[in-house]
Amino acid sequence: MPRPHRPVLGGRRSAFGRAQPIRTQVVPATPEQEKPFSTQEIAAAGLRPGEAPAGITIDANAQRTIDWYHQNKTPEQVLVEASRPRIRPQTPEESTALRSKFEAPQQERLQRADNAVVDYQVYAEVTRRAAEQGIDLHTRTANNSKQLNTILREVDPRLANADARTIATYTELRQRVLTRFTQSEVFRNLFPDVAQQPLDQQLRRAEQLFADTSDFQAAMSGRVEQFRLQAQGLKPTESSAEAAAGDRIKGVQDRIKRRLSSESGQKVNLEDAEEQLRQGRNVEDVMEDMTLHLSRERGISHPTAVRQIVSLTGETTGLNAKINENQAVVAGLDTELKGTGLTSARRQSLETKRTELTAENLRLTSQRDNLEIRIEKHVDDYDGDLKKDTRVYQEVEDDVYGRANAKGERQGGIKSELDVMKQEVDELTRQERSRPKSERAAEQATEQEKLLGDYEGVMSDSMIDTMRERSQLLADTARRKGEADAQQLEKENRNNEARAVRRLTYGIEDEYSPLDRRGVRCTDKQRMAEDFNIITSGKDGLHRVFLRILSGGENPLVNFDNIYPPERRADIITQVGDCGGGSPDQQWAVAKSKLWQTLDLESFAQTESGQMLERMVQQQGTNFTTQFTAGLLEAQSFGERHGVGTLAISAAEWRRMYKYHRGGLKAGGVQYEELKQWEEDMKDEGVDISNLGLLTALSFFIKPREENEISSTGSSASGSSTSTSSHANISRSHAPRTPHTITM
Amino acid sequence: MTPLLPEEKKQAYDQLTTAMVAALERGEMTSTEMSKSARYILTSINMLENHEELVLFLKDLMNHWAPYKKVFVDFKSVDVAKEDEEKLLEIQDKLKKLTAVK
Repeated sequence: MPRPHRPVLGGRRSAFGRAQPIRTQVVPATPEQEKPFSTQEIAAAGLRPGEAPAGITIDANAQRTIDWYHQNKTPEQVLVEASRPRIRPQTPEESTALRSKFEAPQQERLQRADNAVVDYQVYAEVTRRAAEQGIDLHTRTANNSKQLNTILREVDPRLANADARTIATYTELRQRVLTRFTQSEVFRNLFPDVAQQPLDQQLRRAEQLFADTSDFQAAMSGRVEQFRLQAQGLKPTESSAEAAAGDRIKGVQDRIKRRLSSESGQKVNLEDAEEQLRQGRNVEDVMEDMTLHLSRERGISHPTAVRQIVSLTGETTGLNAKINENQAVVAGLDTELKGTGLTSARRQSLETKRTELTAENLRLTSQRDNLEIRIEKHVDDYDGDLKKDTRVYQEVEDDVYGRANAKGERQGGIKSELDVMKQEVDELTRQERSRPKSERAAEQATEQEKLLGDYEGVMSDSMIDTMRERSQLLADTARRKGEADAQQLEKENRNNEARAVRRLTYGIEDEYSPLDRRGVRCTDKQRMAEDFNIITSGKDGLHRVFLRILSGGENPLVNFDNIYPPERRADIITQVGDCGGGSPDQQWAVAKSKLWQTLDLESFAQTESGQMLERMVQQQGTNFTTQFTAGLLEAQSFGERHGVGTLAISAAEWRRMYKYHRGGLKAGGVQYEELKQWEEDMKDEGVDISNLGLLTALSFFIKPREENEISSTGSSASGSSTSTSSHANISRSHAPRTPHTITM
Repeated sequence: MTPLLPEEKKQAYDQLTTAMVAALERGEMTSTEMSKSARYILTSINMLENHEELVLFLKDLMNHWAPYKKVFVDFKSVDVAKEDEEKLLEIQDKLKKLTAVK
């Protein structure tokens, strides 16, 4: 598809169209390279490029993308171009449409401004002339009306050829001019109180101002300070004029800042702009120059340039229309002037009008030329940017396609080599096939033998390697085992040594070393003491009391004779009950025996005596543990001396104690098995030893046999104290079946 | 997941651009659709990491703008052809083993 010419903006030829980047040709995929599809799929997928059916209208944006594609741009470039938002007109039609979009409101604004200016000029001129001719405009006489008609027709070009109702026209004109003025910010800022009054009064005040103020236009154009001073009858001072100019410049600076910051956010040095404004340059020109300058510095001027081109082209069009309109009016005036029958006043008026229009046209033409120069500058910028873009694109393309070519060459080389190899293989295959079958068979047999030999060789090597590896593994295993054995031996030696030290130091055998509740082996006396402290803590608190007894010290509190004074014993006997019919001392003895038998440690702990004991133990604190340990050892020696066991507690407690002090018991000649047997015997005889109080059991064990004779007093004491058990000391000495009388 | 090769991505770009231009020339796509689809392609295709994502993307693109269907069909058919070829090779191997051809 031939590439269309790029549209020319601003009536001048764009340099972009001349830019023809040189790039490597890329051959599009040929149809035969593609996979075949069904007809239906191809129809759904659309035609290939270049197969466009006739009669299709393609808009400029799409056409531009198509052109890029056919210029062999890279696919990425085509897609980027396609994705770009459309801000540039691509065709004259687009330019016209874009211009008209901006032109219509602009023309409307211009028209309104023109009408306002003409209104003002006519009103000023009529008022001036009426004042000169002494016409009272507020007095509606016939003479006044006639004179006003004449003035209006002479002044207002819009009424020149019209049969207008001039008085009504003048009233409307006055209304328009003054209303516009009273609605202006100038008026409202200067006379805020008047601005709040009814419209008639506002108009009257405006008219008065207008009549009194010589430089009314200055006020209208925004020179507020000057106007205010004049309105107050003062002359504007130099400083106030400068201040007004300063305000104006600041306003312009702000506008420039706003405009530029919206594009780039960059700060702007406005010294140059300020200087130019002080020199009297047009504000818009300065702004444009600044914008262009900064845009060029940022290197992104072409969007700005495009906007400026569009805007300026619109202005140019407007100016051309105005010029043409003026020329048409001038031609009309010329025709009328050439005619006859004109009054001198009329002729003078027409000539004045013609002169004004000619002057205006000259001014407009000059403006248009300036605009075109600016458009040219923008177009140059635009083309420069496009050239730059094109250059960048070209460099990128050259780079990309250069790489692609190099790669293609490499691939081509590899492919050639592969082709050669394939040809060689094919040739060898062909030769092979052409050889006689017998020859091939013989060769194959030789080959197999060779392979077999290789295989055996490989196997032999493999076996040797395996054996070597196995040998190495065995050696390593032996070495590791030897090391482990040595470590184990060393550890045992260390343990034996430590055990010997402990045995020599504390007399404790490791095999009987106590284990605490956590299964930790206790290896010294301090640890034992700590463990006993654990035992005596908590809910077994009362046990501490009894363990305290084991220390061997005298403790009056555990003697019921001391716990219960004589005056309370009768109550205790009554509470215990069934204490026989003997003397009070005998009954008390029975009661004490029963008390020991039935002593519930938990209940006892709640009694006054129990709590007293508890407090005592608590007050002794950690010292108790030490005392207990010492007492334990003392009890051990006591047992040894008397040939009985060291301890006896309730069965459960006994087991616990035995566990912790097994060595000591053994040393005292008491075997756990014997104690266990004794416990069983007691059970057989109906006595649950676990219910016996600690002291009860203790009394059996810690007393010498000769001192442990028990006199059975209760009805349940059916058997003698002589045990049938064969369990040596324990059985002989301690086989209670009945409540005992205890003497402590 | 098969990693997306640069060549594959370039091929996608090529074919998508070709399809877009063909649709424009045929009047099946407006310039607005062109801009939208081009932006979608440019933003999406760079985020693709493997072949499967590319095929899914092409399918999505086809659902939005029908002129890109051919590209999807192309890529999909290559996949299918590859699968067929693998199956064929597998069958051939099995046959060779069964017949024990020297």
